[in-house]
Amino acid sequence: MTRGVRLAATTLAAAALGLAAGSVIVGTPTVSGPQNLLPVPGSERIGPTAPDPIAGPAWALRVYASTSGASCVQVGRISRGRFGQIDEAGAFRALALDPGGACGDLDAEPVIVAINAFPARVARDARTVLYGRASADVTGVLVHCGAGSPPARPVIGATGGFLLPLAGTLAPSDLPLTITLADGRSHTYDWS
Amino acid sequence: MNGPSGASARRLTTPLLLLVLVCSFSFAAIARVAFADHFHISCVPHGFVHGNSTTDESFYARVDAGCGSTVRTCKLYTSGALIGAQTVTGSTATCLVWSIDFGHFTECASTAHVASSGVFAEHVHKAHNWCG
Repeated sequence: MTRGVRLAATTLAAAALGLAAGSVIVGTPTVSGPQNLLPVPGSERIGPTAPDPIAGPAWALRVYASTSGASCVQVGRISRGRFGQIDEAGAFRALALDPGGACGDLDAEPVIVAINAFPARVARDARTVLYGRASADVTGVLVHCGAGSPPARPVIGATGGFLLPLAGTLAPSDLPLTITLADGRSHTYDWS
Repeated sequence: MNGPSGASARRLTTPLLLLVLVCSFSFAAIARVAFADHFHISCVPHGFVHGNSTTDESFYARVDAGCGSTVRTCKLYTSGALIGAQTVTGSTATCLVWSIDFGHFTECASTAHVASSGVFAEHVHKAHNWCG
């Protein structure tokens, strides 16, 4: 074996050791993707829906159970009975069931609440959508939309889902919400 | 004739070999740490998630619940422009914003901007195969 070959082999071995040492430093992520949030096929249901505040297809929720047992809720648009999204070019695209929802544990807390911001694009106006999924203990949702605007009371659908699409871009702190439970207690989420 | 020159070569080779080994080891270790930075665990798993491929335009910004956090934010940017954002509240909900919900975007030019109240401030995770 020539000296050059030995040097190359030793260099490769050192690099491999370096990779191994780096792996020890960073560790191996226990979650390489949303695998624990994969939907259970057949668990999905669509609804409720709400009209867009300006124009275009109505907004809708898709609720599903994840393989880890979480309750998930995803917001999108509904067109001809299909769940999807309006892309940056303004076209509707149906979306197959996917792990794109917000998922939580409705046995541990009464609601899962999320706000999605859809920034303006060339062919799409900005939207902010507050939505969530409530346990059976929740009897009402009240969203405080700021001074000068009356509070909104999104309807809780048969799926436990509720949604409130709004025009423009709003910060979560502009949309505190209060939920009421069947026993009369209430809880306010102020996003802080 | 080759005795003195052979000794000289050995004197040159030993430090050179050591230098090559150290450099190879260090480069590989640094590269491994750098490229692992798209998704990691800092009390809770969070960061940029490629999914099944690094080139299929399907990617996520994700922050798991836990460690006492009450509000989690995840945003996706491509070429420096916001393409979509999600904020979740409560103790159990995972923040997950998916590129496909907002259109088609170049995965390698994208970043996840993530925050979790009381756990970590907003910071940026680049795509594994960063090309921005």
